[in-house]
Formats: sequence, structure tokens, C-alpha cells
Amino acid sequence: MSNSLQFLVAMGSNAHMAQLNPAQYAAAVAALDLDDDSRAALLDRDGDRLGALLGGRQILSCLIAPAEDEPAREGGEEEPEPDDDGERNA
Amino acid sequence: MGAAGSLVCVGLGMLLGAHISPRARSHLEQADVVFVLASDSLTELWVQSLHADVRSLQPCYGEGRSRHDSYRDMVALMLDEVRAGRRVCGAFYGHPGVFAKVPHVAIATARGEGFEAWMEPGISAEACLYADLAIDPGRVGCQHYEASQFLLYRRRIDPSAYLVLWQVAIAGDRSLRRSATPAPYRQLLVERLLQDYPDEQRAIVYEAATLPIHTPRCENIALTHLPQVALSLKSTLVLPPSRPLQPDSILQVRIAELDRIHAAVPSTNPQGVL
Repeated sequence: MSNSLQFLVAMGSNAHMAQLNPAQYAAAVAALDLDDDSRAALLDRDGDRLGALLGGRQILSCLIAPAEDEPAREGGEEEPEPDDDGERNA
Repeated sequence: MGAAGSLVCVGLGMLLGAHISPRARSHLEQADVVFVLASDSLTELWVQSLHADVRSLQPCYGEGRSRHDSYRDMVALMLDEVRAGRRVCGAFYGHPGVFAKVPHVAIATARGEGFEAWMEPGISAEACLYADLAIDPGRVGCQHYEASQFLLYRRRIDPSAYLVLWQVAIAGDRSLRRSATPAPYRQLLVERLLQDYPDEQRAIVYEAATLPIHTPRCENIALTHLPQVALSLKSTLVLPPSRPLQPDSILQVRIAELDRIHAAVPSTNPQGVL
């Protein structure tokens, strides 16, 4: 895992790091072993730029909640209804 | 006999590093294969660091491609591995079962074929909304609808409760091919809402933070300005109550009568009274 990503994960999971003031944040980023571009992206708080620098995938969408069910396709199988009984089918 | 496949869908939560539960992480790390749908590229990178075989579901989306096809492909990818006898973990942003069709269908399909399949809850964008906007849904009630579904189907709105409309950027889209609907669609949404709300109604455009270097978007707007406001796929519209709770005088009288009949008495039950 890259140092910049580790830093972000630590910020997310550590209450103290999540509360850094701007000067403390800048100092923490300055102390990291990073390339200049990653450091600049972190200092600018630019997650998209940092993701691109780290080779992250473009997020095209994250929607998986359609407003309507898919119209029935001719000859196609119907999707199973989610279980209502809560059983895991172990 | 080969090993039986299984499927567990877990939630990554919304905020990188902050929300994944210990058990969800354990499922992820112990799976044979992980499928991930994250709302942030950095979160996907992080999940990839947790397991040797992490497969993104992002390639199932395509410009101009119906998301019905995308969802079908996502389910098929996961079920293929389950049928091959693998322990599959589907890791989805937020809660895997809240405004999320794919995990539910995948689990139902797997169960229907006799495989063990279940869901582990996660911290949803809804949960973040309550924290970031200081809303207790239990105080006066909270109604949640998918924004397009709200337009396409008749719903009864109680303006004395909160109203939350999800996926508002694509309000009115029936094609499932768009990442945004034009302003006239949102104007239609405003017109529909003004059937139940006053012209001066305020609203909040909300987006949960996904990285700890970001803050959530909590933008207070006039509802009538919605067509001009910049929205993203992560945007949610929150309408606070426009009027106080309306007493139901008939039922209140009947409850008073029941109270007289069933007067509360001190409990002798050492377990206490619920």
C-alpha cells in the first residue's frame, strides 16, 4: 500500500488524526515519504488527483439501485426475489 | 466432492479507513475471491491491498450502457465463482443492502441454487446523513424514496416528517443510461414536491464524505432553486418538515380510554417490564 493511501486510512481510523488542524495536517503530510505530486494532491485534499497518481480506476458509477425493475425480457429468466425469511440457507 | 461455494456481501461503509467493521474486513480477507464496488477510486485501491484476488465491478458499467445490463453482469460474475466452489465476498460501499439491488439479487440467486449466502450490514450514506445533519429519524419520522421512483409512482408524503430523496441527480431517468438528467426533470421534481410543501420550502443537498480529507456536502438551498444546483451521483436531497406533527384526536381519545381500562401497575416481575 502506498504511503499516501496508508496515511488516508490512518486518518480515517484514528480520532486524533481526523481532528488535525490545517497546520498539523500540513506538517503530517510534509513528514511523509512521498513524491512531490502525491504530496501536492494531499495538501490540496484532491482525492481524484491522488487516485489517478496511484493508478486508481476511474469510477464511472456507483449506482446499483434502479427506480424500476427491469422490463421482462422475451425468453429471459426472471430474477429471483430477495428472500424475506432471513434464512441463510446453510 | 469439491468445496461448496458461498457468498457474503459486506459493506465498506462510506469513509475510507473509518467505517468497515471488523467482521466485514475478516470476511474480505478470508474469501477466496473479492468483488468490489466502491464509490471512490482510493477506496478500491485500499480493498485491493487487503486481498490477492480483488476484482472490480466497475468494468460492468459503460457509457450509454443500461445499468440493468451492468447489474446483471455483476451478479453473474459473483455467481460464477460461487458455482465454482469458491468463498466469494462482495464488498460494496456503504451498506450492501441499502439502495443496492445487486447484492440482494446475488444472495437470492445463490440461495436459490442451494449455496450459503448472506449479508453483513455496513454504515450507509443514510447513517452518515443522520450524523452529519444532526437528524434523528425517530423524532418526527423520516421518509426515504429513490428520486426517480418518487416521480414515476404515486407516493403519499407526510410533510411533518423528514423526506429524503436518493439519486436526485438522475431524477426522472427511465433509461438507466444517464449520469444526470437535465434541469427540466428537476423542475418537474420541484413541481411535484410543491404539491405537498410551501413555495418557501428549504432543502439540503447532502453528500457523504468518502475520504477523511474531505468534509460532507451539506448545502442549504431553496427548493425552487434545485434545477440550478450542481448535483453529482452522490447527491441526496433532504427536505426538513414543513409543519409540526398533526395530532390524531380520534386515536388519542381511544388511547386515553385504553389507559383507563389498562391502568399501569407496579411490576412484580424481577426481569422488569419492557
